[in-house]
Amino acid sequence: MLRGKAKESPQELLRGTVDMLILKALVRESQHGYAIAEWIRQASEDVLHVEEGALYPALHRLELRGLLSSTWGTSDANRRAKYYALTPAGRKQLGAEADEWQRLARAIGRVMLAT
Amino acid sequence: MRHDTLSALRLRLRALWRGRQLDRDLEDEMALHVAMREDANRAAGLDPEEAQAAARRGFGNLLLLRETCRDLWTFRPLEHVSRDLRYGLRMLRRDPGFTAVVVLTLALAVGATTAVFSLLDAGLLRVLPLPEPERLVLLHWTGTPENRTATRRFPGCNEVSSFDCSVPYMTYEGLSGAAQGVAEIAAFSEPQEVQIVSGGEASLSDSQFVSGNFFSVLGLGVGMGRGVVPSDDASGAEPVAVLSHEYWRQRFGGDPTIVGRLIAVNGARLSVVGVANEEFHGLDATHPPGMWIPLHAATLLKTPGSSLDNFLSDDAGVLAAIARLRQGVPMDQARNELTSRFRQLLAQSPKPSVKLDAEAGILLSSGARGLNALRSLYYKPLRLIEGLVGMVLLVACANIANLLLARASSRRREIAVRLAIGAGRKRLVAQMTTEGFLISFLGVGAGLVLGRWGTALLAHFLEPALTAGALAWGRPTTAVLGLAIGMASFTTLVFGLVPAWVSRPVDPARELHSGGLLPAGASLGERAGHLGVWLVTGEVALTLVLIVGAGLLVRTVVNVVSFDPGFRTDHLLTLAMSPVLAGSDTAKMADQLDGIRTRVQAVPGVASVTWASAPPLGSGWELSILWLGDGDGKIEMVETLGIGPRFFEVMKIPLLAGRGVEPGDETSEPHFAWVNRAFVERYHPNSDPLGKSIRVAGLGTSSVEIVGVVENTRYSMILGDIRPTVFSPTRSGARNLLVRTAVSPLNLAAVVEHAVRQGSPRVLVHDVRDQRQSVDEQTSDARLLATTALAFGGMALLLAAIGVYGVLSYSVSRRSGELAVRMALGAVRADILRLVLGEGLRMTVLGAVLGTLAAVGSTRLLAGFLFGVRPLDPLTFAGAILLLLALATVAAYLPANRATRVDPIVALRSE
Repeated sequence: MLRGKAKESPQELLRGTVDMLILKALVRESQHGYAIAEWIRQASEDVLHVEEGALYPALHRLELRGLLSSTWGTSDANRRAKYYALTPAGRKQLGAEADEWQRLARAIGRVMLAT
Repeated sequence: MRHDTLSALRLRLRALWRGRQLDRDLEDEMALHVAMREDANRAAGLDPEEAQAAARRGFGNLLLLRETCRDLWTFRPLEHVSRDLRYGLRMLRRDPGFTAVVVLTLALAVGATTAVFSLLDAGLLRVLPLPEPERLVLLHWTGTPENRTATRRFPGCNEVSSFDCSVPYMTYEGLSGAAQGVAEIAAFSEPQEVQIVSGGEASLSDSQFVSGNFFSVLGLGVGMGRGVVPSDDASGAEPVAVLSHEYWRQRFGGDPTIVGRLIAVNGARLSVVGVANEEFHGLDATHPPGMWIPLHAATLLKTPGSSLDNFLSDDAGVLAAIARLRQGVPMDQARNELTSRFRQLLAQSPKPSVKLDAEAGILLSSGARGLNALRSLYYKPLRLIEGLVGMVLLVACANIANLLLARASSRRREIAVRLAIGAGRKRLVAQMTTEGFLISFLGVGAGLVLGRWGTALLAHFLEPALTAGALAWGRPTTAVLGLAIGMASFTTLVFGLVPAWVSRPVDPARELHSGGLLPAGASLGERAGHLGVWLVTGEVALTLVLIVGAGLLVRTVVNVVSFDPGFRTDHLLTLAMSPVLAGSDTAKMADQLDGIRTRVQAVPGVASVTWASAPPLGSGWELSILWLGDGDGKIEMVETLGIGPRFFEVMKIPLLAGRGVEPGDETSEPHFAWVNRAFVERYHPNSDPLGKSIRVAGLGTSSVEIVGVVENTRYSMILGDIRPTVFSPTRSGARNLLVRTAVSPLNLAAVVEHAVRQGSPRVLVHDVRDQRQSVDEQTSDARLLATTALAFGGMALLLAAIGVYGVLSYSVSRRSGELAVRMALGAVRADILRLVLGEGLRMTVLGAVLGTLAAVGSTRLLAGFLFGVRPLDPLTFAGAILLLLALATVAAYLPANRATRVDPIVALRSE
């Protein structure tokens, strides 16, 4: 664990980003953890690798915040699997975060293009 | 945000509810992920082993992640509490000796405190079960000392210094009428013994005579029928009685058809109109009345001798007054109004019983707690016991703190290890506090149970009759429970904070390095050691004070019990008699006295028989006015007693001069009198008293001649002063048969009682007792105090011994390394013994010195309870100090002896 205030904010930023990606992964259908990680990798064309273990605390945190709901089902290989789905609150949160991200990305883009 | 927290809470509660399911879910979820990654790896062409390893590596620390997730779902503080509780229980179980001592100490301390407090609560603090008791006030009048002799002392009234609360009826009536604006006043008598005949069966009961508004002023409700109402209390009104719930239950078996029944009370026919409610036991809990009868109805009752007063007379005040203030009227205003009205009354009265002087006025005191006779009777003993309890409590606390210190010190390595592996200090304190909570919970719980028994026991000692009626005694009230809870929290805190304070400066590195070999290196041990020594010193000092007090009280009891009251108290049976009043002539019993005496005399085992107006060491003796000189109006109070033939011979009271009482002396108008030595010393110091005539109120209208002088006796009270006493023969006043027996008195009780009935079937016999019983009763206060003090003193002694033992044991175990070095360097057994014993005796002697000083300063508080022994009795002091030193030496010897058996090789190797 990293300590100290100076180093806390990048971590927060990262975690917030992972949260947003997870929410986005669940827009179309409910998924279990492995599928979410795989979807993010494929959708980012192999650029973004979510640290697999860190995925789960993030999922549980989102569930506790009421942004995700979960049900237990069976996987393709007929094993017990926990499926996550967006709640209405999660959907709203995703919208807000996506807007914020767009704004930030455009701002960074403008800065980088400035002469 | 609020919504978030709420839903999170719900989810977490569900997780908590499901317990282990959460662990399984987390495990399954993560295992699935790893398995799927492994499959994917294999599909990508890795060999099975490598596929598995890569999947695991990619995922990270499985266990840690699971714990992280778990923590998200659980309540951390709650988890900690339950873990601490389990840990605490384990620690307590691991050291059962420690746990038992602490729990027992706490239980005894809490038990003793709550018992005493329950009693204080019942007797001194509890408010009467009446509506708005705070508006009730007792009336007292003030006046010069001469004024005060005019009225009778009313038990329970003397709470407001020495002012009396008895008033003549006239005064009550006048005040009551005038005070309507500020208060409504009711009058009541002391409960007085009356004879009840119902269904052909005669028995005795106490009746309280009350004004018609008594029930309405108190707001006293009824369980059945109605209470006394104003129209009952008028001349010519039909006489009525309202029974107390307790009496109704006992005498009439709770008969539901009681209302409307006629009963004979002292020969007058009264109809029962109601039964009072169950909660009310009278204004004086030590003397509950069996019934309430209107004042005017009292005039119809036959009054043999002087056992009933004329309540309506203007001469003497035999009534007390209680008032209910009008809503919103402050006590001061009521007092001013009543005082001015009282002075008006005195000014108008043709022959005022109270002189109108500058001091004449009315005082009010709160009536919310009733008459508080209990308070005046038992106030001092209870306060004293409270003090004793407080001291034992202190000793107990010191002991517990001490045990904890030793324990915390012996656990310092554990604490150091836990700090070293990263436990937070806060968590450590929380853990210790939890342990403290557990142990105080156990101790206080056990103490509450003990306290219930203790209350019953104490109440039994104080007033055996009260436990029978159960009354409100011993039910723990909110105050008592509050006290217990307070004590529990206090101990919990002490438990948590003492070790926390001791372990505060623990430096893990230093503590683990030092290994306990060098005392100088261990700041913790030093701290605990010094504190422990001081605690034990204080304990020893307190204990000494306690056992000195106990010793003084025990000597008092020995003195009292072996004290010679001036007559023989053994082999003496006393019977109280009263004529059955229903329809018969009261003079009859006097006529039948000779017959009764002859029959009782004939019982085998009876040595001699006489009678008296009052039993020895019992109630009923009287103070009468003695006119001095030749009618110049100077008076003094002397004790008077009516006696029968050969009274002095039967009682074994030595005759100093003159003759004894012969049959035939007891004429209806007395001619002769006998006096005691105190009388002679006071009134005839230089002349022969024989043949002198004296005038005493109550002994006829003319003078009587002194024909005999007897030795002083303590006839009425063992512990009181000896007063000048006048004995005169009586027949009509014979209320007690005194039977000197040759065998054990109680063996004859039934036979003698039967003989009395045969002698006169119309005599009611009650209160048959062995005279030793009366001695015991009169000394019950002293014995109660001595027993309690002895018990507490013993407890403190034991605790102090444990304290000395504990501190030394701890010190020996800490210094085993040092001792081993000493022995290795050639110290012998005697050196080691001297070393450890010396340490123990140093703190004991210091404590004893401090304790002696404290005892010298405080035993005078006991002065009022002592008899035949001075507060600074050197023998008691010396005995107490020796006892304490002896016990401390024994307590110190055990660890000292253990110290000599330290094997240097073992001790040094273990470092």
